[in-house]
Amino acid sequence: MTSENGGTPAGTGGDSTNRVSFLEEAIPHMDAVYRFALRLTGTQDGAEDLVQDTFFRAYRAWDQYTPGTRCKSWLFTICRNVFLRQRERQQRHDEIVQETAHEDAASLSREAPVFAASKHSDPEGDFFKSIVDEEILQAIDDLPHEYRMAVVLSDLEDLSYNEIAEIMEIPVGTVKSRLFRGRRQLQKRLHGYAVEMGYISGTSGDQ
Amino acid sequence: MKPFESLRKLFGSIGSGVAPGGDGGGAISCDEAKTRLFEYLDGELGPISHEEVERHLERCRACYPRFQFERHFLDALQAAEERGTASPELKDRILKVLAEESANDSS
Repeated sequence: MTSENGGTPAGTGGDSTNRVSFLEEAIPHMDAVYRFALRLTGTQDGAEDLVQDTFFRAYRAWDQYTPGTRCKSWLFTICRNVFLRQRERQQRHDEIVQETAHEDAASLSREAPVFAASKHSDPEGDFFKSIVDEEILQAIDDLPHEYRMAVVLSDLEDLSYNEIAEIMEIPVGTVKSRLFRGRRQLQKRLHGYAVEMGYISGTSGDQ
Repeated sequence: MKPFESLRKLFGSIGSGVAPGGDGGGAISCDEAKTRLFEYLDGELGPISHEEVERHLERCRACYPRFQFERHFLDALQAAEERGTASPELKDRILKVLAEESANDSS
């Protein structure tokens, strides 16, 4: 009559069981958290400190984690909060995203200025394949941080809109508009790079 | 989760010039398809809406390049990230900190 179902003893003593379940459930996500942290901070040192802080806090709060829910999202939430607190402390109010643009997610999806610009020289966007990873990551790092967070969580870490909304504490509609705006900015930048490198011609063939 | 594979299959078969059958109701315009484009690629549409977009793509060659364009873009982002991993030193450091923390707790 063992009642073990892979869960943690909720709130009961069992420190070592707790520790084991943390090692089993949380630690395997360290690479993902590291990548997220790297994109948020932009430096390896910053990312390593952020990851260490995240796991330390996560460990202390482990009894608040509901076993079986998505651990990765939970860790990202902590990571984001730690990052924002650090930023506040550093008082780097450098990038404030303007949410004033009343362009909704639908029109952001429908209209594609970069696609329009390269429609004639490279209609299917093959040039994206030629761009080196470093350039892509740098372009992501240069996005305003609210866009960056949405893009990283969706396009690099493959989380759903709902999960991102929870992590970023914003409505799903805002996730979409930030994500789609971030994508558009990224495309613009990568397109500019591809033109500069001569992967595609820069002349817009729009009539 | 993301329907790239089904897209690939879809456009693989379109090369032959024969769009898979299935006509009638539920047809959406290019405009509607594009409006749902990102949600479609992200696997975020409900089954009915997803199928409407898919069916539109089966028939509409005008929308094909745009969808390919976005797919190549998203593929490039995903490919760029795959390599980042936490260093073994960082992992060791964190495990050590956690071990110290639990030693403190139990004392």
